[in-house]
Amino acid sequence: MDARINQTTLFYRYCLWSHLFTAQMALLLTRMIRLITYLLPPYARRRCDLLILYLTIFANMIVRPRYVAIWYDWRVWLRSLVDVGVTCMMQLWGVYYLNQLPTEGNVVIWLLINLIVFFILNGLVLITMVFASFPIVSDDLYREPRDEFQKAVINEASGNTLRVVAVILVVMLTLYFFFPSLRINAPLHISILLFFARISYLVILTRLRWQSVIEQNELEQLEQGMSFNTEDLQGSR
Amino acid sequence: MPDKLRVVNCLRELRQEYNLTQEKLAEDLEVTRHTIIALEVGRYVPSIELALRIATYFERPLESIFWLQLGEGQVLPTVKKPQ
Repeated sequence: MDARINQTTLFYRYCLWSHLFTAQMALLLTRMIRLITYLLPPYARRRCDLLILYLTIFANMIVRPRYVAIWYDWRVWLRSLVDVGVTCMMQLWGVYYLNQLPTEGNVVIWLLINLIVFFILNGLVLITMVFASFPIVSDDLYREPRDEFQKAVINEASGNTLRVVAVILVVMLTLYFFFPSLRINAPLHISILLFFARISYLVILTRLRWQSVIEQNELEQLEQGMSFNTEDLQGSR
Repeated sequence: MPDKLRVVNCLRELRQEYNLTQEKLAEDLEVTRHTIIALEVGRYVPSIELALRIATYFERPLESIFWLQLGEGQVLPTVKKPQ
């Protein structure tokens, strides 16, 4: 019985997970920066908005390293575009309620500039990763499509997170209905909500992943114990 | 509190019998090793498709690999038939 694990694969696997964890923390950092910007004067806040946008783009590309292997997939780009689009919409919300125009003047031009920067940054990140021979090993993080168990795990994590977000969202909308003065700070509230949603998602995924690692270690120990018994049985036949 | 009905399997013993690693079995079944781990520890109930593929792979009847268990030891060889 050979229950050895390829040490190189194991090394890359845990490197990738720490990388993933770092990327998740980067996304959390962008959320925290967003929250802090609400304490800043308006002129400083506008500059931070762009910084947050670019950090979000970069962090999103790092969060999904497996997408580097399928950079040609249009769904990858669409997903990132949606993420950036949501960020832009939140900024526009803040602009609308705060009655301040972007420093670039016309809102449409501002959006176009952000989209162009988005494509340039994404392209640079992907090209760098591909040509820098980013360690794409045969690991479940890079396999497409995910198998049914992974989908179940992701669905469970996403479902739990979405349920929490939905409940909080209902509470927020109810408060907005009865207290209109709260609406002006809606971007702040949404930022806080997304911040805790991401923490929740990260915690759930980490717990599921760590549980899998623990179970694997237990299985290996059990198999090593059983392998001796199997050899004894074979010798007695 | 009444015992809970659950699906159990002998996948680990079967894999041992055929001298297969989890990675090899996962590769042959076109799933990840995490799936095999989750199946062997009983944390995941496979889909019918995956269960049938496992049975076909080992050339065993499905019910000899997966079966229902009530509580900690009571095996249910049959289920109640509709009236």
